[in-house]
Amino acid sequence: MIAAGLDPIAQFEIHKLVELSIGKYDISFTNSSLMMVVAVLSVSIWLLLSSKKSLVPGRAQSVAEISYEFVADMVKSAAGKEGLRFFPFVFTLFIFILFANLLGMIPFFFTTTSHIIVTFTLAMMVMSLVIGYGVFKNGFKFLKLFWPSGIPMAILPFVSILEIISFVSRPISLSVRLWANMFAGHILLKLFAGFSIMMITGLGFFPGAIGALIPYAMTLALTPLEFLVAFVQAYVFALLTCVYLSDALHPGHH
Amino acid sequence: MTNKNGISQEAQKDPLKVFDKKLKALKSDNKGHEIEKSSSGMATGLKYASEFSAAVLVGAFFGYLADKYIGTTPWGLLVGLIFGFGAGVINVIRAAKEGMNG
Repeated sequence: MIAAGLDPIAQFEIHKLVELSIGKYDISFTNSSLMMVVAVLSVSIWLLLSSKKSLVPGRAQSVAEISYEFVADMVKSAAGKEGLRFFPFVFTLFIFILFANLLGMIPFFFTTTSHIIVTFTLAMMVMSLVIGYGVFKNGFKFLKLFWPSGIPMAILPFVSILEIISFVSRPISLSVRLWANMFAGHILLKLFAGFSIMMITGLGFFPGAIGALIPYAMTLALTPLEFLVAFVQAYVFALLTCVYLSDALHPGHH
Repeated sequence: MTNKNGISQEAQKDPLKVFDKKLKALKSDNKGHEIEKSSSGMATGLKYASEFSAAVLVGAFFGYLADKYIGTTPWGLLVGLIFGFGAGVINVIRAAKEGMNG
């Protein structure tokens, strides 16, 4: 018997806040959309308020400058100097995912990135940019990505098929990785926190409180880990975006 | 050369340059090692699992499409699965080479 408040999946439910529709398409404003707006707004407020451009930066400006350099270094090391033209895109992705993940860590807040359709949309944006820019810049040479040089002719067709499958699987693995990390982490937290409540309601206050110590310690240990995961997954998503963009810039050498 | 305040003359002339030097020296000490090493085991597992299973799914899906529209049942799905498996292995090797945990 699980009390309704302890259901670990219930936190991912979508609620419609404002009902909207265009024709037969449902475009209602949900709690997920609300959290996206909150994420974008908080990023905008932070960046606008911290752009006084003083020589000795204050706290907010310092963090803004550090995150700029962090992402710029990442783009340069993964995609080269040419990759810097994609800096605004990568920075936006990184900061949006980071804020969506971190806002999800606040109790009772919805985590947008714990829905695979959201992360898959982000991944498809990356892949369409890679294909669009790759074809625009290299034309037919972009197909060299699937026709690697220096491989014997006898096995080249097979390698080519493998490369195509590997390329198509990229958006899936990219989105699944971010989604699964956020989803699993939030379920774990909720489960262990729920166990300690169940201990007390089930065993009464005195023996229950002692039994609740163990799941409580787990919750305590998992919370900082989840903050780390929130950051690392945003970083990994942005880094892989850079790696894929470098394929669009220089197809043919892996 | 220092004056009585302990600030070198160079620093008085161009404090920005001195600050820049200090900043660069500090930065070269810790260049992002901590991010790549600090990561949970679950994240590492999910990395390889997603890389591998995504390729298998895509391969099987291609095979299924071939079956449906060319009519090669059941060979498309079988061959697609095998190719997907191969592409999954390539994905895992590449992910391991990138050397980032997460």
